Amino acid sequence: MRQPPLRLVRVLLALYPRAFRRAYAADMTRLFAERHAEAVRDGRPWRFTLRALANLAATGIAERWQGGRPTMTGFARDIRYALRLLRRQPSFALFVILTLGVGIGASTAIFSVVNTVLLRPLPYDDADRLVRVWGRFDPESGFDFPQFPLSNPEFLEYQAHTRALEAIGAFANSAVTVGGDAASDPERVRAAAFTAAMFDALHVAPAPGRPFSAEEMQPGGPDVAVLSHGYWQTRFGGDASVLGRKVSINGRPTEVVGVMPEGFGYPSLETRLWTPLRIDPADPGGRSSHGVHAIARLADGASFESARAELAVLMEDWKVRFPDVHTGHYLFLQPLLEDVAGTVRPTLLTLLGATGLVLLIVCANVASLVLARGEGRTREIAIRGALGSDRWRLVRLSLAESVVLAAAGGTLGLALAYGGIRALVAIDPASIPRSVEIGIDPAMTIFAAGAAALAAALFGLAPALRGARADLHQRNPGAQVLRRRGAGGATHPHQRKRRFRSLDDDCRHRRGRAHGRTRRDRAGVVLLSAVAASAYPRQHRAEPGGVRARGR
Amino acid sequence: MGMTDDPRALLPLPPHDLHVLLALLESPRHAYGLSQTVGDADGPGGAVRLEIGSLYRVLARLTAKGVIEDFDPPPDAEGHEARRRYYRITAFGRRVAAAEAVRLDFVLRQARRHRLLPSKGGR
Repeated sequence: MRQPPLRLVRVLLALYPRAFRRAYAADMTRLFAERHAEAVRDGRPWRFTLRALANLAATGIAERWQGGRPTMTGFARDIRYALRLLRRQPSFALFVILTLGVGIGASTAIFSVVNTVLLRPLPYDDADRLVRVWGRFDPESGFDFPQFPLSNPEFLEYQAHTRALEAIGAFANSAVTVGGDAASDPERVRAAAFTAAMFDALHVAPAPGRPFSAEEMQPGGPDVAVLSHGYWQTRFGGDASVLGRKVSINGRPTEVVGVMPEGFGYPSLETRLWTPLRIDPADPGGRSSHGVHAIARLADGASFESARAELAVLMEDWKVRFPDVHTGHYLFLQPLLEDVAGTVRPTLLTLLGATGLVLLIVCANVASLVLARGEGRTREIAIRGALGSDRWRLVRLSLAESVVLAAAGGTLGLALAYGGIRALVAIDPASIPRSVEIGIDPAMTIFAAGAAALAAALFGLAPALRGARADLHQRNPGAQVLRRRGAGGATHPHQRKRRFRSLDDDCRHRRGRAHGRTRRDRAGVVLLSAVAASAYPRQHRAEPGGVRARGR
Repeated sequence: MGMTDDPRALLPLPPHDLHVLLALLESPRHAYGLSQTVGDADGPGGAVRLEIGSLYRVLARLTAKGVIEDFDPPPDAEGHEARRRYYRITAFGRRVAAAEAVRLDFVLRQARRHRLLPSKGGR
């Protein structure tokens, strides 16, 4: 806890309304860091952090729900009461919060991965206009490859034929040796060869520097390379003078002409540099020599469907012209996002479903716990009814408890999800595409909050409604309880009077404590007081969470 | 923005709001200074715990009602200080604080009458 958890602070700030955030979020984050440093000096950083984070969550929700109005209205008072009750039963509270935390944490973590990998657009302009071109070999061709690279002639012909695609670029993966001359040690890095159209299709350009020129794309052109931002930083110290300098790549002096923007990494985030991919139209190589990959951007006015239809026509043509190659072998298009996320998609969706089920089971378990505990509180609730609480108030009281538990569980879940994702990415970043993009973000907070709210509704509503039935009607078990306990109560007028005087004191004690043996004995007293109170002006009667109607 | 020119419309002031106003009556402050003053046992707040989220809700609320206003740091502020936003009480804010003081005075007189407090001048 030496470092302030500023990312968690920022995530919690997402709870506040946008305008509030815009005005104060930066200041609040800074103040948090300063106060945290103080707390570290005083040797109590955990205490400070937990308190401040809980306060941020609570005030964020309050600000969003009730705007600038001060808190401590009815529901806030119920919440305080619920907190006090739960403090009296720490093991129950802890168990429920841990259970909820694990359930919400697991589903939030998986949601975050699903959101980043499957739902969020790729980090390119109009990324949904990008498509991947693949070759396929159906079994009738004698092979069975659902995805296969293209041959140069296939690529060139498709490029010349298409109207639905505005830029179609080819690339090939490679690995190169950088350095190894007198000036530096050799290093083997992942690289890719790009045609110039790759930059056009992805709508990215090196900065600083420039993409490959037309001359550099010519067969036999000069040796040039573009570096990734990360590689520029680590190998060349972010030195801008590297532009125009010759670096030894595969033993050939190669001029560095550009650096890609930070975060760019295609085909892989581990690609360190790009060289020109030169395809000679005069000598493209064999039609069955498949070595290049292709991506493209849909032209204005073209849709994925129209591009696919156009390609189908071309494939019919190829089948006729090159029957020995294009029998059971053809090209097809796939949205780029599907291609990137493709292999993990079913796994992730299964996991998401599974964690959703786990969350439901967690809710069911917690609901039964809360219900079982509610049985023990029948009397308390009946007393509240006797003292003049209306049903809605009782429902609210019970809901307040669920809200407190769910909020605590949700916060814990968010923390677990955050830790889990970091661990997942740290252990094996390559196992999930786009893993470095996965992080804690507002969508994740909103999901955790939503999961917590859903949980609160699921496990809170049943006990709340059950509690609401405990009114003073004859057939009601709560009322029976009251009558049973009250039977031996005080009858002498003096006693009654004295006990009536102690009504307020008694209630104040009672609401502070859980129902226990000693409380049962007081129930009779309270009932009598309640009977007396029915002759008392209504505003003086007790209500749950605040014994007297207070004039705040 | 919920502006009103009757200070009594804002009464009673929630405790945190009052403590922030008291601290600002002493001198203009930034949020960090406020959180220290209000949390300081010897300060005008008498050690009220004011967490960050609550503090900024109070600041936002009082600003929206024209009770306080923020301003750029003084030109001689350096480093950290120069980037902070400062808050001061407005003329309307003084009237609100005064109205609250009158109200509290009434409350205290009631308390004395019920012997919750010793009478003035006597022990």
